Amino acid sequence: MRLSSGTKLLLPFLAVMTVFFMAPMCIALAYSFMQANPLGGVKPAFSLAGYLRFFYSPDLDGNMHWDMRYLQIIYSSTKMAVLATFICVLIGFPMAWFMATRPAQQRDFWMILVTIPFWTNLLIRTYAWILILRGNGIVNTGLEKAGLIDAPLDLLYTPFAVGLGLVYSYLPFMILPIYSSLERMDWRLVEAAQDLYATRLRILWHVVLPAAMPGLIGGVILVFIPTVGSFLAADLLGGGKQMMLGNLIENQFGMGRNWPFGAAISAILITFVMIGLILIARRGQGLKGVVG
Amino acid sequence: MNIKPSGLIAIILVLGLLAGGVFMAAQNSGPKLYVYTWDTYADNDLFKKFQKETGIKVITEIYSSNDALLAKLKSGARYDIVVPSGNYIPLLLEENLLQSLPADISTLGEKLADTIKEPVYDPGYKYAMPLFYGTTGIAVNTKMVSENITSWSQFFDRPNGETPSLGVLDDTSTVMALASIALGRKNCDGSDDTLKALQDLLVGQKPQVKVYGSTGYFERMAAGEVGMQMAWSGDVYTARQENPDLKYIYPVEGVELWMDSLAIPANAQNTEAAAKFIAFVMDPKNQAAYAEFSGQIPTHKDTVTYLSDDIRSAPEFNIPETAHTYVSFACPAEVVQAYGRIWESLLR
Repeated sequence: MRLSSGTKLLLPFLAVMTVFFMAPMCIALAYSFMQANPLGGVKPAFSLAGYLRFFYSPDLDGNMHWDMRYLQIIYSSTKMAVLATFICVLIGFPMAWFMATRPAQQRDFWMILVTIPFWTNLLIRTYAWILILRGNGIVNTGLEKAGLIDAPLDLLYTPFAVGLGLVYSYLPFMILPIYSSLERMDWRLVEAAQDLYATRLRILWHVVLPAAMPGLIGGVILVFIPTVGSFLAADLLGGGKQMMLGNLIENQFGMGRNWPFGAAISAILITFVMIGLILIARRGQGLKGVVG
Repeated sequence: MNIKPSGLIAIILVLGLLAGGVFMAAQNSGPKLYVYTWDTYADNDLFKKFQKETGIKVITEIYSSNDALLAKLKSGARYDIVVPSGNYIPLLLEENLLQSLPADISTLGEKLADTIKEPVYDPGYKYAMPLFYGTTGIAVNTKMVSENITSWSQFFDRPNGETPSLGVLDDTSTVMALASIALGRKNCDGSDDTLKALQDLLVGQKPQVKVYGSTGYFERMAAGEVGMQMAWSGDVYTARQENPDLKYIYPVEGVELWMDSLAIPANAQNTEAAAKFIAFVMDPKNQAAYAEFSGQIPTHKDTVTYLSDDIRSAPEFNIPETAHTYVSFACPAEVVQAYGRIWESLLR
């Protein structure tokens, strides 16, 4: 068998993806169709109970009842993820614009600034927000010293803190793809629009936005997917009061002792994400921004 | 042989991956002991002393609930030492996740303090060697809470409209056991009526709860973030060293009595080192240092002579004769599932 040079270069990547990505996914999928062992783990027998648990709950007599609580968790996680993604766009787009309009030598400097957070572990960075937001933290002490507030504000352990944590964690994933799109934009188009007396708003809408679109879509995907499944921010900054999908999944492998249910939620989540990605890819644009 | 550049690069990349793996493996040479333990039991100074004496390097990984431990062992993760609580040992044994201790370790059972009764789940200390014990009660920050707190019902059943200031451990079985005590019901009773009452009590408490969490909770007590915290006794002692406003309360309805034991998982790789580790930690002098670090009550009867007066006279260390103590135990699987559903609807 003769492999083309491109295929050969792909081999290490394919090996890593198979071992670390495909295999665990297949295991999770297999577990989702098995029976739960009461003390954790699975019994190797086929069952749809993991999927049914999503909509029905048994009472103590074993009767099944329609159960809304997991749909509510999906709804609230999705709402939080949509909101966080939207705020990331609002902050990330101007930031990427700012970076792309710097002189070429300065851009690398801004790139490094954006990527600096990645040098530290996410858990530690999220924990740092606790120290910033808590009652006697930097924000509250600062505001009190400035005489703006009398008593500390309740910032930590609120939905606000969760949103802040998510936006902070994933903002670079929004900035970088948009920046890479804008950086390659043909500035002559902007000049042409100016020559034709387009207002700044019209230039933004008709020239800049279409050019940034692949990066924007890429950024939305890169931010939305991890936020909808994240559990650190809800746990640490939200005070564990509101589960997100990630916490629900984690719980099934711990205290919930229902591995098939946890695997089923993951499978459902992955399916929805896949459908979304396929739809975007079908529309023929967008994914370029992710890899670009 | 004719190798194209792309083929060469591919080979180099694969070799690089392999070399990286070998390099990491080489870094890890020398005898090692993998200890999976509670976040408050990771006493690096003590573990370094063990390394100095035996040449065995201790590698710690931490957990903050017995359920995490159970799940990790079920998933096939390999450790040489684990530290389960008494109520989970029957479950670990049922799943064949522990191996029996060497006979000379089991005989250490004779040296335990008189307050410790031989556990029914492990006669003769065949599988687990008790290390620390303590109670689950309430830590009150007296600067933030002026009310005189004496009971669990004052913790679970707060008047509405207060600023949220309660800290609750996110350990479902512990919370349910204590909420049952507060309601004057038997834990694991599992009747519809009791489950409903538990759910109502916890849902009613939620607006006053600031944090559900066990990880790093003693730091929250020390920083004065919570007015009242459901807490394991030793952690309150540790937090009080930083924040003298904290007071440990034995609620009138009763406290949960728990005990953490050293055990060797069935799939342990370094059983010999694990046995050495248990013998080392159970040495009264070492156990005393460990107790000073964790704040929990040590089990060896001679350890107390090496403890500082400060810790010996601490309220966390002296369970009052008048306190009702409930030995915690695991509920049947259906009740655990029902508790899990209550917990999930509480936090939706």
